[in-house]
Amino acid sequence: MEQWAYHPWFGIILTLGIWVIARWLRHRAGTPLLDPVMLTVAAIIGTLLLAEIPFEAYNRGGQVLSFLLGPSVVALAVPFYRRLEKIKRNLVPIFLSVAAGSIMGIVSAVGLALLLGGTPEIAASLSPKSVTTPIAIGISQKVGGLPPISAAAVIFTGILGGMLGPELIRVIGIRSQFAIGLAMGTGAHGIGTARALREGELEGAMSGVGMMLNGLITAIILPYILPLFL
Amino acid sequence: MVKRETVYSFALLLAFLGVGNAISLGLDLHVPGNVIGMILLTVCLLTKILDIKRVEPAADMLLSEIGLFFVPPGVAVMLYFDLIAQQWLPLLASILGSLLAVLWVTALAARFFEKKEAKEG
Repeated sequence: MEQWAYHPWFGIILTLGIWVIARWLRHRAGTPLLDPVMLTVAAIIGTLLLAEIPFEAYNRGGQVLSFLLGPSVVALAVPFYRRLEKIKRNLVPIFLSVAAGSIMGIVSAVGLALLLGGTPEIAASLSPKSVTTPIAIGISQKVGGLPPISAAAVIFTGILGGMLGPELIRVIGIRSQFAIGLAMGTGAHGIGTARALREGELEGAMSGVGMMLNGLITAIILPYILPLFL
Repeated sequence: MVKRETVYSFALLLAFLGVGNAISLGLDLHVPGNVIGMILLTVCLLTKILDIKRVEPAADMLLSEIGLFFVPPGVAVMLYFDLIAQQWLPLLASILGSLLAVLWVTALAARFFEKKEAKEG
């Protein structure tokens, strides 16, 4: 294998380059469903496979970038605080609705996976799949899952939810903007929130709240729910 | 040129991350250290111990590109193609079924509280 691929700059430059192109593509396409993370991941995997470069070589630079995931999750406190200020009055009903969704998300993801012959490792990887990716990766590590599988499941969930979420909710006769927004953020995190914003301002704001609260609640309760299944 | 405020606020975020990790490891909690750091920072902001302006510069900068930082863990999925091929059914069913369950349960709960409030209000 060529030595240069093992230099940290290889992974960093490849990722940054493709990331810039993916963001530009999504901007041009104007749809939240063309997720730039998914595009970038797919393009990098394709490049590595074609050039026969092992993941370990890429990850010398990759881990420099993913180090910033830690402070970024801490930084989520800033938008969370800004939103908390706005929803103070309705905090209890909002919290309870999202908590119901969080518990349902964990139980249904783990239960379905195990029921259909999934290994405990796969079930653990799927358990944080409704949560925003940076938080899901941390949870997955802690509960014995495979963070890359969790990341893939989370992004796939977000794209599906972003595509069909509001329609799936209206099927059961719910029209409330408040309910649709909260459910979109709880079920389909950031990608769902991008879609919710297109439905309306209230939907978008509630979706952001649902995403943040679900991340928080799931991180705290999941380690106690998961052992009941495994 | 990177502004001094940005460097300070980045250092603050790292400090919260460090404390969060120390708590997570020290108390052997299963909650990730970065989430504990986030909770601590939220509490400090809510109680006005820390002014939001102190953390905003680096926070906004990091969050505008947060997707970039989970590209490498996403690329690592290439190590598990065989596993995914073996486990495609539980993976797919869990993702689809659980998405529907979360959307419906959350929306139904939210509508329940909304109606209750409308009645009382």
